[in-house]
Amino acid sequence: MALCAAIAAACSAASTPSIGLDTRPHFPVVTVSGLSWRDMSALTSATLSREAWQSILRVSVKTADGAAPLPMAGSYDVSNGVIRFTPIVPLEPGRPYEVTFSPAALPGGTLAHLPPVVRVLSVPAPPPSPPTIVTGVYPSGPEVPANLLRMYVEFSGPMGIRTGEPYITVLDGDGRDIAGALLPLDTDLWNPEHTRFTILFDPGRVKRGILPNRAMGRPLHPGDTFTVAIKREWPDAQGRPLASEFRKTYRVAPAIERPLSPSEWTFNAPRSGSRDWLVVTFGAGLDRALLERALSVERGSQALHGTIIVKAGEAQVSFAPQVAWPPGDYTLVVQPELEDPAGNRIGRAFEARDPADDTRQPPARVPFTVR
Amino acid sequence: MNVNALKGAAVIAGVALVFAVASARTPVTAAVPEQGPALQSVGPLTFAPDGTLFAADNKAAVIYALDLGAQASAGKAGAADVATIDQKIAALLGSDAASIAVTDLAIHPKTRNAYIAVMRGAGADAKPALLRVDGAGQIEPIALDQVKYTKVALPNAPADAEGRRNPRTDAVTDMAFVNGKLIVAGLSNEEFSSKLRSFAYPFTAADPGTSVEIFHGNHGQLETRAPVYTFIPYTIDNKDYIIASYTCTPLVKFPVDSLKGSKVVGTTIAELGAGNRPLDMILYKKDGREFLLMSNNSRGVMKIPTANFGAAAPITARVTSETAGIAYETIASMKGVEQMDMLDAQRSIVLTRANGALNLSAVALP
Repeated sequence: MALCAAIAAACSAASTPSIGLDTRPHFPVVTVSGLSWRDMSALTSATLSREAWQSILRVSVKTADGAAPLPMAGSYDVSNGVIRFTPIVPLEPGRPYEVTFSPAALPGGTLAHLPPVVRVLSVPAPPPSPPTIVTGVYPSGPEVPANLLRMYVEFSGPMGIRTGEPYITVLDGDGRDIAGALLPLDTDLWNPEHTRFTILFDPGRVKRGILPNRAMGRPLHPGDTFTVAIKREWPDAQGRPLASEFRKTYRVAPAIERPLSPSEWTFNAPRSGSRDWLVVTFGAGLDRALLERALSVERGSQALHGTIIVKAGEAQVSFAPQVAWPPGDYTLVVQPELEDPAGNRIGRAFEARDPADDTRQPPARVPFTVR
Repeated sequence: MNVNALKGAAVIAGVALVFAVASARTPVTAAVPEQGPALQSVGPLTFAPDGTLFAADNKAAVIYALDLGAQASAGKAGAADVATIDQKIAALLGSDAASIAVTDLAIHPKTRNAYIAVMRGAGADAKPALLRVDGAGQIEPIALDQVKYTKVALPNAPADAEGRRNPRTDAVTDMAFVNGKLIVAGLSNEEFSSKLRSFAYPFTAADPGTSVEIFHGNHGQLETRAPVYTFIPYTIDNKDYIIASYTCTPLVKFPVDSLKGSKVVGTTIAELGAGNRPLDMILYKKDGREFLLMSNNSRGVMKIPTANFGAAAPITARVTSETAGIAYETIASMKGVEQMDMLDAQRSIVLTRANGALNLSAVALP
């Protein structure tokens, strides 16, 4: 029916311009149709600059105060009886745009007989989903070392592109902002899905002897408490605020300034023939994200497939293989980038004098036996 | 063991096993020019002397080398002042100023037009855009579908065997082109490291780049692994150096040819104070002397004479004063600078925020 109407309009002598939206997936195009063949020919035969096109077909953001912003940038083409405006970036869903078709602006006045048309249109916004919430922060335990370097915030759904700098504050036991505690970064520290954001404490203040540390001291002091506050205003992937503000309060423990030492880890080895969990306890919490990719279990030189669970405030992991454990000797393989939340690695503390390039070191190998 | 009782803890099957093997994989490189880069995000930017524009796409973990073609020469030479440029860019991109985030500013080496990288929107559907500001103050979005490109991927682990994407990312914080090599500073969202990556250009599929960990000797201890945030190539006695500023704001120099090894120990030549993020650096000459101009997020714009960069004694003793090493002057007239580049021999170009609005202006070099 619509097609018949369009053909009829295009072929008839009289034009009735009509503004519409060609809602191609992800890239809607503004259209003007309903012009006669003769009027269309006048447009196609004209060589129009961008400015000339913008005076004929103008697409701009519809403002609440009626102000006239610059027209949106894009390209124009005329084909199959339709004028098309393809914006340089897709129209924002839910935002109203004012489209003005002013045929009289065509140089030479060939289309001056046509009436101007104005229409406000918008691309439908996606249906609302449940508001996003903070599902957890890491370290997940109640206590962190005074030289804490890194935390993670996890969300229930994808967040937007804004970084955490304006939305994360660290408060002391009296609820006052601990100024300069966090590294003032505007860098993209999201995981690819934008469901986890990395918080970095200012390493210059954490590390002893660096000038900021000498001038201001560490932001956290053993025996104190502090609170990480995530502001509700942090926009999620749909541009909405979080469901609510999030707070978590920690106790501050003494700084951990020594390397990770796998020889001190305790192993609760499973029984042979079972699919029981291998439980490794570290003594202190390690970095949550790195634990998820820095550990593996090998028998001989063969890596075992299975399930790893991180728990106890990241101070313990459990591993269960897909098939029952045969008796024998095994190895827990630890990649050299594993750190605790204070940046200490195997064989090298964050507060270190030796600048060995430890990420190029071979993985640490810790033997255990299944009987 | 009741796994459900551990709700909230991540349950991962074999992720660690897969990662250890996959992380060494050669990255995808498009070495033969194609047209129409599908940027997912844009910024930082840097130009090669021939006008090739390198644009980092942090969301895709890719760096594009863009041949702007005729669009590079379509405007009037230079870059004129544009007040409330965020509002104007927002209108061109069909949005409002609050939804516009400028990610970088770079000056074309030949036309001296200003190129501004922008993200429109704050959500998952945020769109990248690249705009050119010419000598008449005309703002022209670059039609990316007409741009030829090659690209190189930043190496990282791919999705695991069950299709889950590796949560580790590297965000590019700065780039510079030095003698045929693109040098890239990045910041990981997981392990704490201070690495520069160097790619030969033109990109080749055989060269995934080399990574060098940069240390800087400092304060009686070695300050290791603080990420480089911004840097600039610098020549001392005909030898190429990098002058780098770290997130904890020391200024460090190291020779470019040392980037071949696995690690480099840089020399700390100045301490610039706490609670600060260095933003941009430019080098210029005035009255026969050379200066480094560095913008910062909280310590304003610093003017640092370079005469002693070559001979400066490294800072090795602990410092108790507010700053140490080579002295600098804070330029009080340059306030609210968010982006900065060199416009010509006499002027810098800056994006400054005043009364909530972003303004592009040329400013005489101090």
